[in-house]
Amino acid sequence: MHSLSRDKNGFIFTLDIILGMIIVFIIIASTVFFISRSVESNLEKYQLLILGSDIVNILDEQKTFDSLDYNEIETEMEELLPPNYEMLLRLEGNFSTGNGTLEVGGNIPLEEDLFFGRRIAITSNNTFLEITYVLWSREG
Amino acid sequence: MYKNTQKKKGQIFSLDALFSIVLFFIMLIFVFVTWNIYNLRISEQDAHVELQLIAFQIADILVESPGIPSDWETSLSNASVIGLQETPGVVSQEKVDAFLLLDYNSIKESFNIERFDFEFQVKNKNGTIQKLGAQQGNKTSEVITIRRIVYVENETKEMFFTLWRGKDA
Repeated sequence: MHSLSRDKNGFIFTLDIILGMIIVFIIIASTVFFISRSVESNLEKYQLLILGSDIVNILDEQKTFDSLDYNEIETEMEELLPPNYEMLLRLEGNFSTGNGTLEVGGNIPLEEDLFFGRRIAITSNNTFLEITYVLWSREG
Repeated sequence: MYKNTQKKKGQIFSLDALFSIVLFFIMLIFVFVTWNIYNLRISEQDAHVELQLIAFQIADILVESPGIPSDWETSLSNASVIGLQETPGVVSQEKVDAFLLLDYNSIKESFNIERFDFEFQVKNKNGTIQKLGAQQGNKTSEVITIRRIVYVENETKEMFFTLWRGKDA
């Protein structure tokens, strides 16, 4: 009986250690996880957004949006876009083509990080355009 | 019988204590090493974020501000803030040319980046490069390059601003 009681005490002590160690490891693992997450670089994300903004700005300055022509906008856009990125432009406004909505560029992928931006422009014909641009890295 | 039990108790206690001490030191060393590794990583990350932020901000100021005064390119000694914008969305070639004529150290002073070195490049579509800044061979640490596509005199050009920590930093 005496021996059993000692075993029981030891068992409880071991459970305490295990519980303590589990808590310690959970704290260490979560600390490592959150630190690793914050180390991820924002450079690529920012560069993509800036790239989109610069491309839309140049297309606007070149008056490419004036024609509201799918092929012309796509050609100019592809010329400015680096090969490892894809972009979709969505133009909305009071124009007849596509009931006031024109989408130029690639199809939005389901499993990639997407970066959105928006810009308001006015064409030479005084048509207001709300331009939404979406960028993502090309697969592979 | 009594003596035996006493000895046994003492022996078990020593083993327990030894085991606990070993475990304690293993944990202590593990925590210490992990702490040091992450301390180092956080310091590196801070330095990286600082470099990124400064490079982003300078590239933004250059492309999206006309500078102070806005006609600083006519009198280089009066330039208090350097910016290359002509009108919103358009970069001035005159300002780019004037910027390339400025003294490297005075530009660093103007942007408050004396601890860093930089290189500024404007690349035309035909491949011609206008360049200003430190030699590439001086790049000893992490390097951040910001690439902007700019519209200059009805032409699209690429602008690169590269920043890295100086040797003394």
